[in-house]
Amino acid sequence: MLKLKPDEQEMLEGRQGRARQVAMSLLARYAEGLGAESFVDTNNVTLIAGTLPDIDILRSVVPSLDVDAIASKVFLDSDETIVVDKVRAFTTANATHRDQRYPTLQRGGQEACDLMQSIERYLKRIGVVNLLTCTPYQSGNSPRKGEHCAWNESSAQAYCNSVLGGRTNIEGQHSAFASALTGKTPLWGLHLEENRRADIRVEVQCQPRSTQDWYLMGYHFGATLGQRIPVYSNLDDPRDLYSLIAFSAAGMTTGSIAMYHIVGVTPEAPTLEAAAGGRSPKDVVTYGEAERAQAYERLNSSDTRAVDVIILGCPHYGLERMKELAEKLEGRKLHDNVALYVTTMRSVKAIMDREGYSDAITQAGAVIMEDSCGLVLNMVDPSMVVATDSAKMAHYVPGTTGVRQVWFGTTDECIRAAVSGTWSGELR
Amino acid sequence: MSETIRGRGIYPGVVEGEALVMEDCLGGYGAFNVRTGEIIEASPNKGHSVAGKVVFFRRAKGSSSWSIWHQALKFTGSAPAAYVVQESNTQVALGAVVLRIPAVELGRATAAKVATGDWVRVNGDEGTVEIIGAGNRVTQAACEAAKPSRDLASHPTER
Repeated sequence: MLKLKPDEQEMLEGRQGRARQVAMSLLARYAEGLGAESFVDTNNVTLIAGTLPDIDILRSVVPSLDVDAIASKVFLDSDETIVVDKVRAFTTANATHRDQRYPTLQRGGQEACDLMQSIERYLKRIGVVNLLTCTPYQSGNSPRKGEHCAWNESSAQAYCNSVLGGRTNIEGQHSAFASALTGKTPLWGLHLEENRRADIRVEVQCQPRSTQDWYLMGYHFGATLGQRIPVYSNLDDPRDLYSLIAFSAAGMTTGSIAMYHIVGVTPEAPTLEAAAGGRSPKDVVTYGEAERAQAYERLNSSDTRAVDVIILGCPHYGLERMKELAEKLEGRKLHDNVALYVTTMRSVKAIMDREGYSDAITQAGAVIMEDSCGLVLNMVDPSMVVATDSAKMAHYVPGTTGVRQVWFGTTDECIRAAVSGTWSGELR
Repeated sequence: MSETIRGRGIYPGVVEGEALVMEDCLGGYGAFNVRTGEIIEASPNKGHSVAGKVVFFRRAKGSSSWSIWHQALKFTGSAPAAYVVQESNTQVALGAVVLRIPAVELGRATAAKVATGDWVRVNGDEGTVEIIGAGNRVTQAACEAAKPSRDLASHPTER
């Protein structure tokens, strides 16, 4: 039974304005659906600015495309247009999924870019910080251990819980927006200490040697563990900034691994016993070459080696990855038949410009897209062959773009294909 | 034939409809055509539509934009009539809230009693699902006979 504190009751009764009332009502129904007993205060929320239905669907429900009406109809699920004043919690917005510099390269063209610019301005107006990245922790929103958050964006949720020790459930756009307005989130699931402990142990028989290996392992366990919380008892520290981002993304692509532990690496797993709440999990699974090969097979759907499009930066590349990419592309030229897109956020792009990385990458013929997502690229022809170094991207490309031929490989294999025009990747 | 299965109500309301039983998980982003409700993701139910159906599934999966794409089904007139899920989570609860459709969480064993095409009544207030009549189970047979995609061939469905 859900119990409301006095300030929550006040919001629900409309004594703090209509926006908070509607948001609190949505959160109360959501909390009841979960079986939560109370709310907890949150001062760290992320929204996904760009996650909206296609513009023709939006226009069918909001013909004027007025942003206050869109936010009310979509984010607050309200037929009444509510003009929001300011959010209550510190809130950052993830990618708009549109780089304003390249309207024609992205689905929906100029019209979709214009809409996203209106959404960005709307969010700024109501006090949201437009970080415009799926990896907010690479750009200034990095929760502290134990902080109660209400985050939207699957890979970031897993990273927040597992790698940073922040606490978030898998929030959707609606619940995150309501949390931003009210500063409340249901005290349920991963906000509670007892629900964060591992219930299954994973023993690996082949250590990941590359980011690709982390992707493959995450992809395998997302599909096989569902909503369980694994503790990986014998994994080595990846010693880079991106592999755990990739691992977090993969487990949320095929499943809902919003929390995992790596003994000796992640903050709530100093020991196996600590990760599992004072015991060793009864269930144990292993991961070896067979599982690795199976995940690789599932992610490679192409039989055509001539590559048309290469997509890097899913989740958004940070500075470490961009520096590497710049070094690898410096002085080289992409093959005439290949387009290479790499996605990141505006803050990283600004530093790349000053460090010379942007020049090295673009002079090779690649396109750096900020605030965007490879999945909104205009694939003019579904017969195109796409290659990527992201298991998440490889998984989502067919369903969202119509492209059927996808290669998944290492970053080096993608760069090699970008220069030669031919895919030569293989599982090593 | 009428049999009532008891579970937990996620979102209130009572509705009757035809069951679409998915043995796997239900995604949001990239899982279906939001204009028609047709499932487009590689799955045993590919080609079936969720529109107007009581959708039985194991769990929610995938992108946390789940509720946005399920809400979009409402905007296009392709929303499901109800959700019946074996194991609920935040995505299912939020999806039901924004679609305003009855939703019930059932245990894993009980969900197996229902087949695609059955006529069922979902009571989100009481947390029950009543099987009113066995439907035309040809739908399911046809679905099972469909050639599995490459994706599924290497990923056996859990039972």
